Amino acid sequence: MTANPALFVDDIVVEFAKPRSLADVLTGRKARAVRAVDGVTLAVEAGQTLGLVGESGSGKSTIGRAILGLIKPIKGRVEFEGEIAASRADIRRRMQMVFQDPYSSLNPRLKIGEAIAEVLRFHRIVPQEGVATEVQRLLSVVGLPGAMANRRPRQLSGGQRQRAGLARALAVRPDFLVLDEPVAALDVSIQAQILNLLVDLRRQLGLTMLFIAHELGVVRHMSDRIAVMYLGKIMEIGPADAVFETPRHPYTRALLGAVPKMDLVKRERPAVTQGDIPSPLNIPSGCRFRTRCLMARDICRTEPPEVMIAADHMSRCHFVLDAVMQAPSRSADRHITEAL
Amino acid sequence: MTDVSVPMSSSVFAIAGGEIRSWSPSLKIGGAIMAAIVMAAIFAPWIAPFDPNAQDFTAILMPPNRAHLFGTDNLGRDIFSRVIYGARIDLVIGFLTTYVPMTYGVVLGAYAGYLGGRFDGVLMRVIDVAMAFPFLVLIIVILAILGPGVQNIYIAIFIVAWTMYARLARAEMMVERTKDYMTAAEILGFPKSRIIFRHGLPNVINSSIVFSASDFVLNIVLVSSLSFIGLGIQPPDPEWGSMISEGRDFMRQAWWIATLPGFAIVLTGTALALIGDGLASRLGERHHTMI
Amino acid sequence: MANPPLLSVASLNVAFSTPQGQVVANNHVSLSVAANETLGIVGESGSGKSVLCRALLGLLPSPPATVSAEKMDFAGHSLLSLNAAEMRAIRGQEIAMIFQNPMSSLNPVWPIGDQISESLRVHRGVGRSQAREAAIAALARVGIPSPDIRVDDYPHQWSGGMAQRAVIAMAMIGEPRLLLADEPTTALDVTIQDQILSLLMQLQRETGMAIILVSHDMSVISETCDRVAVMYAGSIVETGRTVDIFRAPAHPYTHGLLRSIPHVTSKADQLASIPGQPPDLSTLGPGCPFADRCPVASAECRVRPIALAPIGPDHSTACHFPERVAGLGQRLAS
Repeated sequence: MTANPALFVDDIVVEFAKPRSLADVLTGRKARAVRAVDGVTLAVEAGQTLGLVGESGSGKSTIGRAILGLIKPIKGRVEFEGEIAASRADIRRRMQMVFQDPYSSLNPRLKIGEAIAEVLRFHRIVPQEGVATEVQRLLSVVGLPGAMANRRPRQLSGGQRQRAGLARALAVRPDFLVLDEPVAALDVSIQAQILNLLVDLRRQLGLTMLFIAHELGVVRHMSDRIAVMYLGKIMEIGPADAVFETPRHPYTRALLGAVPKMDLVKRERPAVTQGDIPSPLNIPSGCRFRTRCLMARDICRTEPPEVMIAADHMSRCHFVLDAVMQAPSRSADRHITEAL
Repeated sequence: MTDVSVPMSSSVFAIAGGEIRSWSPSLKIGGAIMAAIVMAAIFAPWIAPFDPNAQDFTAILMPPNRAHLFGTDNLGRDIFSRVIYGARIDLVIGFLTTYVPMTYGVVLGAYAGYLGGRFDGVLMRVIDVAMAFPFLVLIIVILAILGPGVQNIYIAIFIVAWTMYARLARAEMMVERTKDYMTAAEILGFPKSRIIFRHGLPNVINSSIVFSASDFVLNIVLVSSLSFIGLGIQPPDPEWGSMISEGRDFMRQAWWIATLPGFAIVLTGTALALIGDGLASRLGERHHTMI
Repeated sequence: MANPPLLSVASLNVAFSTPQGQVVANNHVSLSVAANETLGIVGESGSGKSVLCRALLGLLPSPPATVSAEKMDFAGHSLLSLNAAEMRAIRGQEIAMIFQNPMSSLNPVWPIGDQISESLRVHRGVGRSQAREAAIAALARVGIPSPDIRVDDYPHQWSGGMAQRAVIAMAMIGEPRLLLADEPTTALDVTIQDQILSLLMQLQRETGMAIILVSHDMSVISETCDRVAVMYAGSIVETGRTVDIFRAPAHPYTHGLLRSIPHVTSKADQLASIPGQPPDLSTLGPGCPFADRCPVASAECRVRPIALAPIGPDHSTACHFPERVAGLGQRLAS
């Protein structure tokens, strides 16, 4: 990793205050806060894609929004190309977002062309005479026919809307995109189209990306590096291949073990985790994964250290260097289950 | 993977854009009646057989007949002509008392809904206080201070009637604010005022528009009631409500003087209710699920 | 298929009358499932898979839906000839259904225990305290900890995963012989999905019930289903044993689906995608609904109506030219 990553997130903490209910007020309880992101540090090199995976309550969406300045963190800072993003509107404009829900990401009252043109005009990306041409160019870049400029969102399918939203984001010539579950709401056959488009655009435009998703296969396909989050903290972060082929954290292993495989064997095995994901209001002390971890021991009640497995691969677990963790994924899972 | 939801036409402007064939019966019938009333008001000089204020002492208190379709009143004035010309007055009243407060009401509500915080808090308290008083009482109090007359009625209504629209717009804005296209507008660097006006407002006025249909007729009834008790339109102007008031004394021998203008109010109200109903189902159908 | 079919459906048609005209949601759908067997129904939006489940249980309101079938037999009786009361008796007892969103499947103002035991009280006239005991037992069976305490909880106090277990408990309490599961894990996190799928398989082993599992997720299907039916635009385009379909798909759509999924275990440069999008059901032509997106379609495909035809023991396809699929390139390596 170079000394100057394009995006640098330094120990961000984001809290949401949970408003006090009447009962809380009457009993004098203090307002509680949910720590959606609890000290996350990450860096993305220019032109690279960092994949962020996690389940409910992991904080992955919150981090995306905090990076773009939609949510103010209570601690920590976000730097883009060396500058603090929060202080510079022009920097923030180079960081854009692609959303999950194709049905709410476009203004229903605006035609597609109007929505894109508005961006071009407001920021004077091109002179007035060139707006219509630029709109057409953007539409073709995302694979939409030019006639779409005159359609309204309700006349477009989910995949087409995602393309339109992408065109709108690209209108402002961003260098960095946060993609928050961009294909989760799409049919499988459309999903592949959009992913291919994103890969092409990334290459053509040299985009740096933060790709947030819960589908491990999709994340793997898109990412150079992967960070695995659980209840607001990064559990493991490293090169995509390393993290998915030789995961060094029990949660990563659990995620990979839980994903249904296409091995065409009707499952008889038990689940790889037990119990529910804890609520972010009640984060377990010490290692937050210990309540569901099959390897948990007493030491897990203390905060686990960050262990560097390699220069660019970190795992936050007491047992990173144990033999069990060093074995390839599947056999290790069996060991873990048998050990109990 | 969820059901595929295809949002249907969710704005009144899209509807007005010529999909009349797909209007519901409510909308068609209400629209037709309203159109007829508006036409009557516009072409009153050609439709009305008599001058509405022309008195004819040879023809007082005549029941409806071929010459005087709706009969005449105690001054010999043709009720039919007065009702037709009355449409002009009442439609203008309805329009101004409904749509003027709606403009600033919706804007205030939209701002409050989007910004939240102190602005919202203050606005909500103001609205709560205003709505705690019965509408009519407030109007009468203001008129007592300002004096009777149409101008002051307008002022009084402008002071009070915006609150409902503010509430409706605020509620819709609070929902709309969570939608991704609003977030996108923020990330794209648009200032808040632009986001609220250009992106938010067009999408939060639906419930206000539906409400305005009933508000329109309620306002007509309100002004008519005020005229009825002498606080509003002064004679001899043919406003429907004051016509009812004047005809009150003659209910026994000439029921048509009070009843037929009342009928006009009912007809207008029905038309507007039908329109409001049709708009409500149309605008409310934001999503329909496909298979 | 080892056992005789428990549910046997032949030529089920479901049409909706809409302002745009007749929309055929299910077009000559035929399928069967035996006891102890899981049939997967895989399809995307507009495939008709959810409508199919509801049609089986008679849950579609009759205008605007028109349901007709040549045969719809369950455990030897024809479902078509049942009246409303008889159908109600079957629903919730012999055939149960679970849905995608557990939070909307549960009534927010009733305690969970009451909702679970309602079926027993209504269909079998079981008394209150006995029904409560049965609800506690049902919760224990689906893996809810401390069921005797949690039986009085309200749904909003539970997470999505636990709520789905409660929904499964509700379904299982009538001891159904067939369970229809419509995208039961789509709204759940990966590790929770893992738990629910293991639970469903375990319950099947214990009770021998048949399961029809509807999903858009091929990997879920591959791990849980013995046989699969692939649906597209209202028709079944391929059906057979999971192993056969995934190893050697005989329909271009199935082939395309399998190749467009990014796998956790490997990284491809470009995903093979299916161009275009699923068709509008109200404007379908007479021929194969997939023709417009098919890489090997010919002119005949657009006009000749499709029908399932066997190409092997327990493997049928509706493609007019299944031999062309083999030439489409590498399928799923297993």
